[in-house]
Amino acid sequence: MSSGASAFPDRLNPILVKELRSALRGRYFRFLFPLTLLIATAIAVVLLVNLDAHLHAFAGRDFFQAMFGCLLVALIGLVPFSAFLSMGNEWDEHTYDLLVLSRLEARQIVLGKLGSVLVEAFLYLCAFVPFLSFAFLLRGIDLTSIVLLVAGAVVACVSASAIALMLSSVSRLRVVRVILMVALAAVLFGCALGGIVFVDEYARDPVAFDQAEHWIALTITLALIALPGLLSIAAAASLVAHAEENASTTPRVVVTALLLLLLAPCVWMQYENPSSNMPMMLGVVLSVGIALCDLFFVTEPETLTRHVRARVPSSPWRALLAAPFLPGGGRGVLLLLLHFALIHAALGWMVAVYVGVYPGHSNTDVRNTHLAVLVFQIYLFVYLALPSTIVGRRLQRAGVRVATRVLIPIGALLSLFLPALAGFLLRSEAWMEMRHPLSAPWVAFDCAWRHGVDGPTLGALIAGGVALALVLPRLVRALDELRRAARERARPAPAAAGVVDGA
Amino acid sequence: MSVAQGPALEVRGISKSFGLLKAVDQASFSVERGQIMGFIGPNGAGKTTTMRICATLEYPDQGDVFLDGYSVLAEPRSVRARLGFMPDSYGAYANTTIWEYLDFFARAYGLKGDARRRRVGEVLDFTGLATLQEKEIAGLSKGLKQRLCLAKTLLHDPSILILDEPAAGLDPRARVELRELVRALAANGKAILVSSHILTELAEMCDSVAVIERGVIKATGTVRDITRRLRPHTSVFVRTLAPVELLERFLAEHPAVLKSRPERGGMVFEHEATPEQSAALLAALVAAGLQPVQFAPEELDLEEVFLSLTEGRLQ
Repeated sequence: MSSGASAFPDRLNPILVKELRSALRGRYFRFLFPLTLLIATAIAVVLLVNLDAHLHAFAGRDFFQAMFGCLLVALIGLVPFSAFLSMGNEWDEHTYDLLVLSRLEARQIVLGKLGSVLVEAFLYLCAFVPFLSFAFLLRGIDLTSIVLLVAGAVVACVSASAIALMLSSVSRLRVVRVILMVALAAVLFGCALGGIVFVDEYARDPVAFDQAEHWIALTITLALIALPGLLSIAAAASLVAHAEENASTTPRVVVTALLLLLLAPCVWMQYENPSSNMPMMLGVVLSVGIALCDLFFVTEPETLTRHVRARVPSSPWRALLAAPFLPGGGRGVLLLLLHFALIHAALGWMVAVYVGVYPGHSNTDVRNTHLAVLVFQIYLFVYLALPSTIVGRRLQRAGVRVATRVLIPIGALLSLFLPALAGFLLRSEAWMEMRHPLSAPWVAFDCAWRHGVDGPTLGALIAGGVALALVLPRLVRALDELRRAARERARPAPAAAGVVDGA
Repeated sequence: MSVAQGPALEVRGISKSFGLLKAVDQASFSVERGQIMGFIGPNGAGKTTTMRICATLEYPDQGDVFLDGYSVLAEPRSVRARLGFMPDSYGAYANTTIWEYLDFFARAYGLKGDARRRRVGEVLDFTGLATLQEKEIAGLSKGLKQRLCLAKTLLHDPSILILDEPAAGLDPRARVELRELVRALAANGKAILVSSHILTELAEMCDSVAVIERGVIKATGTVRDITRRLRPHTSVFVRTLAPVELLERFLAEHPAVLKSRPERGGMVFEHEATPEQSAALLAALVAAGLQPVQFAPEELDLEEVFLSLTEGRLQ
């Protein structure tokens, strides 16, 4: 029997067990871990030798900055990179098929990989604890700051590792992964550098955290760092799942849940401290964020795979209710509309709270919030739904899908800036200042919010109606496919040869 | 649902296209329990695609595959629980020993505690890897890696095995050992679908074959059955002490002989044969004083069957 036979409990994720065994014996970790510690020790020794007696009060701060910088490089640089390589190995070593055939689910594979790199991060953290403790003993940095900064680094590490896993799952082509790896390395390097600069600034003027607002701001910051990670986990799980399986429903549910989770504290904050600007800002920011997420769903191939069709709810009504959460571009458009509606519901409540608290307030802008956000969403709807509808059946091809997903945001930005450039050439001041009909911020903020239904707002509303009419056949087809699938499922299937019904 | 009778693996009219390329076109065949079926075809004929469909790694555009009665489309998880698939490019992890590799996959198949350790030990013993369990996979020979892959395939005790080119790149000894392992598995009642380019290997191992070319199944059945279909008449080689000319004249005049040709110092002739007719023909040869020293029905081997059925065209 192997010596490692009982080292890991049965309940542990098998991927985590395998990765830990392999990583701790692998060259990547065995070489980089001691090297990082060696560099950190060397820096520590140099700092301590050159400790200036006059600046003794800041010695701890400088020492902390240097050590925390090393830790950041490990947590935001090396660990996510390790995650990227770990997932890439599954494609390179031809082991992905073997994993698919086992009882492991895509989610388990991704979480197992993430778990193993977090253990790696934990080892780095443990190794740096003596350095950070020593920094505290040298004075110049308080314990709260150390704990919060380390917590922030850990959250960033988890998020960056999840993003790395997602990027590594994007393609099985090695050349694509090499390009993504280079891009990731550059971004991670930038993040680590940015983190070091931030710590430098923060350590000079730390926040006391003696007010509730500070903790709320900290929570929101950590949530914003964690959010891309959570989305990446869902995206990675859908990318790792079998091409024919339903890889879309889970991310759709996760995105919807995250939207609700983001709306809830904002609604609560509005209740605690009503603001006239908050609903508008929230509506716009969330609409853009959700549109970016929904871009992936709107550009999915239209038709359901045979495997998914066999799992559509057999009741037509249940199938209809589940429609926004089932795969397919048309159903992605339905999800986009649902998300916009949820944002409007939250806005409605927030505006009502404000008007309830300040009934005599004459500011009509607040009452125009719905209209302004609607106008903004119409632009997003046009950018997302129309091009994907035009591309239509060609979305079945992976290349067309990727191109559409890249070109839609580029097209949206161009529609904003090209008229401004044209205005510069034609010497039109209004266009140069982005006051043109294709500029969603201008139409939403300056027109709809301030003046209600005026010329540009009316134009946007009409454009939205026309876009909806053009997309409508796609939505009908998406629902009709579900209805047919539900009817097929409801029909009794002919028994397979050699199979009899069990008791 | 429970499985009663019927084939362990049943492929029903499956088709699969990749863009304009039709990789598999209305393929149908079945494998019974305890049977080894050889799956042969030229490169790019659709063997691997068919096997991957059977293994739920690809889904068919049309048709369905049933393993122990479970559909790959409707119940892929149930299918995977009953299936052991050994792909042509087997995967091995770096920095992992044989035992760790098998322990990982045993965990991945949901085996727990002592049952897992016992099962890993059993497959190590069965594949003869027990003494090497602490060795890293990277240092293994190709033959040992194939054995390891087979061991992994057997971990969850599947009732159906699909082996894609398991003997590729193996030396003769490793091939013989692998053949014995596969036979032992079939003797345990497992249905086995195995593809290989080494037709002599398959001929010795398989109870039946399915021949595929350009995605179309050309023939299925035992080699003997396929030969009968290909050559409805029996071909016999005969050599006599008497001169060949006399033998040739005798055969040309005999009413039961359809055609003949000189070959290897004797004659090969075809006739519509029953054992009685063959015996009567041999008796006539003796009676005619031709003194036959060899009288042997000629059967097509798998290689000849394959060449007769396929055109060697690539798609």
